[in-house]
Amino acid sequence: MNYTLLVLIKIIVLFAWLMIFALYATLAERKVSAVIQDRHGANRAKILGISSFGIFQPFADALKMLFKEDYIPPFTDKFMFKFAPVITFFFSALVIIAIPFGEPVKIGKEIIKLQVIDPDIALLLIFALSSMSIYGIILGGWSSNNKYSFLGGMRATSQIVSYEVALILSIIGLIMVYPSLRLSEIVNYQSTLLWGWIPKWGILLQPLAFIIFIIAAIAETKRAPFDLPESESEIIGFFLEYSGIRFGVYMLTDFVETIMLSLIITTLFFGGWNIPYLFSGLKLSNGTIFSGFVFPWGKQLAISINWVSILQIIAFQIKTVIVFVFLLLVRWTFPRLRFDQLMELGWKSLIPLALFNIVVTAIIIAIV
Amino acid sequence: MLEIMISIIFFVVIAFISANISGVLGPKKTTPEKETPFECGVPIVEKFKPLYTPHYFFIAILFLIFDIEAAYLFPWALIYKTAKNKGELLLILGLFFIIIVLAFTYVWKKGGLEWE
Repeated sequence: MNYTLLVLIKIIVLFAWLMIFALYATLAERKVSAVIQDRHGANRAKILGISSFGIFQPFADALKMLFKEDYIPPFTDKFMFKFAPVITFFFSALVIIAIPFGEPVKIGKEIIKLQVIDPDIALLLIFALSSMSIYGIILGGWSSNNKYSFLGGMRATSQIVSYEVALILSIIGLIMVYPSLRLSEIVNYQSTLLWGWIPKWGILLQPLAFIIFIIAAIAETKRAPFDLPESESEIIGFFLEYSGIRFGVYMLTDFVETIMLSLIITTLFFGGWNIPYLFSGLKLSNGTIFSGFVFPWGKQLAISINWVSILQIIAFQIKTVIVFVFLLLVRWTFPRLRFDQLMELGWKSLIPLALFNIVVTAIIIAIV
Repeated sequence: MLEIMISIIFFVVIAFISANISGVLGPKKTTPEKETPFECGVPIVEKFKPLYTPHYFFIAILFLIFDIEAAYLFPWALIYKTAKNKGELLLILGLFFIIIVLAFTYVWKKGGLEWE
């Protein structure tokens, strides 16, 4: 098959997956918050009288956003005002091209990787891209020429910048364990077993790094309990002057960032597409190639290689959804921090803990 | 390289279209109230001035220093596990961390991490 066409197909499939996930993420957020606050949640959008738990609601919301007025206030800096949501959306959505969705599959004679790019600096690329989206936020806040949106932009910047350090320092421990920045290699390492029975998932090898990472990463997505940049009751946020789909793009980016965060956490800490004890193309001692489950107590269960790939892709999706729902639960159960508490948590707790984690990991690796 | 070019073009186009589509589809009508910045119901007295506390600037400077330090750790972390001279590498990490911790305690004691 033509390689360019293949890449294009991959990108379009990924983008469609992302958009459907993001649309239903809005519904999931409304439903989860409704369950927590003892309400029904969105259930009014109907097609032919069928609402079925509001599954049409995201489309109704999106259509409404599309047909609203795109008002650009005369006092704003017009070029930057128009440009800012594009920057945020672009950089946070582009992260998806580096995520491995499954083991490379063999179709006919060709081996197709289930990720668009697989560079050896993938981890650096991901964090670089996701922190570039801050430019859209601060430019949006600045170009609005409104003191509330400006304050929101400043708060967002200082918060993201503070937690970026803890985030990257917590990653160092992981890199020392995996020794690779290539995401496919990281997942491959996690599919091996420790002492023959414990899967080497990141969360089991680096529990402290996982805790630091998840706290810092929730702060990076600017969601409660770290939603100070857009605290609705005080300063509303950096998107205050935006309307129509430009505002919608900012909101969508919020969900896209959360989805990317779930994807990254799944890849780095929960073994990516790995199912424990499920192997594809394992060379047995008698020389045959085996694919299927090999349990530590010696039982074997052969599964055809195609089904192994499908199971792994499904496992990746399920893990991502579980992490995403966990993030939603965190968002709706914790109250918002104060700004000084936020800075203290970031600088005085997470960064020293992350440095401690690096030292402990270095010593353990030197001993073992 | 080809992959990343295609994805960048694809996502730029999508982002531009999605941000500008309601300018085409939506209505256009202006009222005098729409042309004023959002406020809590009081008239605007003065023009917006981008003033902010210097602490934001200070946090940005701190971020630069510590993020560069974190970036220096990446190559060290990558070679550490497979290296044969682990003791030497640990010594280098120790020296590096002494500098980081000294700088960090200095900022902390000077009250650079407090927020009023």
